[in-house]
Amino acid sequence: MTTSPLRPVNPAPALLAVEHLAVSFTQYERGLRRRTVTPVTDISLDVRAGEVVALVGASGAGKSLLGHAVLGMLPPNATPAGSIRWRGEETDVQALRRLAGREVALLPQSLSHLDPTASVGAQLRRAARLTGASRAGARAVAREAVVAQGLDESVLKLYPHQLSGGMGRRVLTAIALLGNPSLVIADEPTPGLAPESVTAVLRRLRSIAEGGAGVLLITHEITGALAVADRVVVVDRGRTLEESPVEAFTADGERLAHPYSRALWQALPANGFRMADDHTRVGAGMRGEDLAC
Amino acid sequence: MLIGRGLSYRYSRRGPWVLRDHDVEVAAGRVLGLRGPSGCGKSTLAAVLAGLRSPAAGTVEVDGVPLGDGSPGSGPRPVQLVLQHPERAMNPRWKIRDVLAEAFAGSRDAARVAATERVESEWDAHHGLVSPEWLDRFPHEISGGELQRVNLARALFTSPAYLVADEISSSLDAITQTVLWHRLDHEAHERGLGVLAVSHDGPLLAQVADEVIEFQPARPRQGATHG
Repeated sequence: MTTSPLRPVNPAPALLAVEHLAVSFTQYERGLRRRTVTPVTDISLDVRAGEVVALVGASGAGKSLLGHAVLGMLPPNATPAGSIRWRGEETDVQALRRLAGREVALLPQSLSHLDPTASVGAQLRRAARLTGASRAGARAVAREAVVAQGLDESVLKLYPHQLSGGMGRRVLTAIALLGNPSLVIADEPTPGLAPESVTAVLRRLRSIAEGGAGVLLITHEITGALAVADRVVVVDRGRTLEESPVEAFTADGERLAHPYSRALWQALPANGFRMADDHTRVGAGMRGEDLAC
Repeated sequence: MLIGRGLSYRYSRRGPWVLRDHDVEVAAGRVLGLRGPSGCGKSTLAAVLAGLRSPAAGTVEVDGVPLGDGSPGSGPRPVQLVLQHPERAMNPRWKIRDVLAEAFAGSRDAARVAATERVESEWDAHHGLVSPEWLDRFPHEISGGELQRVNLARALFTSPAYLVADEISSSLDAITQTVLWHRLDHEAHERGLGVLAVSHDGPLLAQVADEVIEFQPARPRQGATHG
């Protein structure tokens, strides 16, 4: 066999490959008149084992819908189109639901995803049993899971409202990792946390990837994403605009392909806090620049 | 000046003091940054300064006049408050046009006309916060960033003398964040609005504020001291 320089470096299929995903919703307005809205029109990305891929975009860009589509969690009036492949194999909703919670785990956005009426221990034990642990085994698994997240065992007795934001995030991580997933989808895991907790959450995502799993980090905070991700996929209004290595986000962003990604980068307070030169421009310059109006 | 003096506040009669003898002064035409970690009490201070919560002790004065209780008929509040979650600040069953019309007094129809004119003239003149295209949509039909622009526009439509912005961009993308803050910068430095910018985000405050102060948490079990 000859080795060709054109051979792909990593020939194993990606864990997750999403191609041209579109999601439309059928809604009723004014009685029986129906209309179709398509918040996601064309999103593509892939995630390989051992890497963190960040999906970055504004609210309403369709980031969370992509996560829900991969988990087979879209609401009944949603119609997905395009393809989602798992380890190279085409999937349907049933296949995705079988993967969800076992091979693919969701690290949700907020503590409201916990049951407010059950203790942390009860919820962890229930989640452990769903991944196949015995009743006796679940107790031990729950204990190990919280300790692995750097929490004290006493947390098991607490109820969700007694947890701080940072502790809650650790509990959610513990639950997400119970089934040893191959892919973790973290949906906006950092808003509302103190800077130290943000760093801790991001570091934990990195260590999940270093443990061999793939991580899809869905976020609007590009700074945090750049700190842990290998690649960044930028989406706007339901479309993938570009995929860039983290290193492209540097200096003035001239290595970024799309004007939107450059605008996002330049708008950061640390990068000049500049306004995009389009319809969103309100007119006033900052810090002594001339007024444009 | 928007002046809070000796402000004390706690959420229950025997609860811990969240504010204890706090002083703060926001000057007209300036952006004052108030920084501190989450849960330290900055939002409580913001709500007291905006007249949303009455302090247990201390006074809030707006240009020499004590802040009223905002009872109906007293007109729009001179201090407007904008919070982090715009979707919680508007009626989900109202169109954006009606959400904005709330800022104008008079009959509902007149207020709707006033809101529409204001949106259109600002958009034409120097690209306003609100696109005329959004007026006939419901809050859930536009993105979170667009909704926060509506929320800020509604506060500005009452022509307040002071505006308290409490983490208004912390759940938004960087581009929407610059849109909101460039507008507040313009309102402050060109039109004389006094702005209190509350945030845990140091780099952001360094960009937008003329001066940044660190929130000093209330000291537990101690007598009142100024500072």
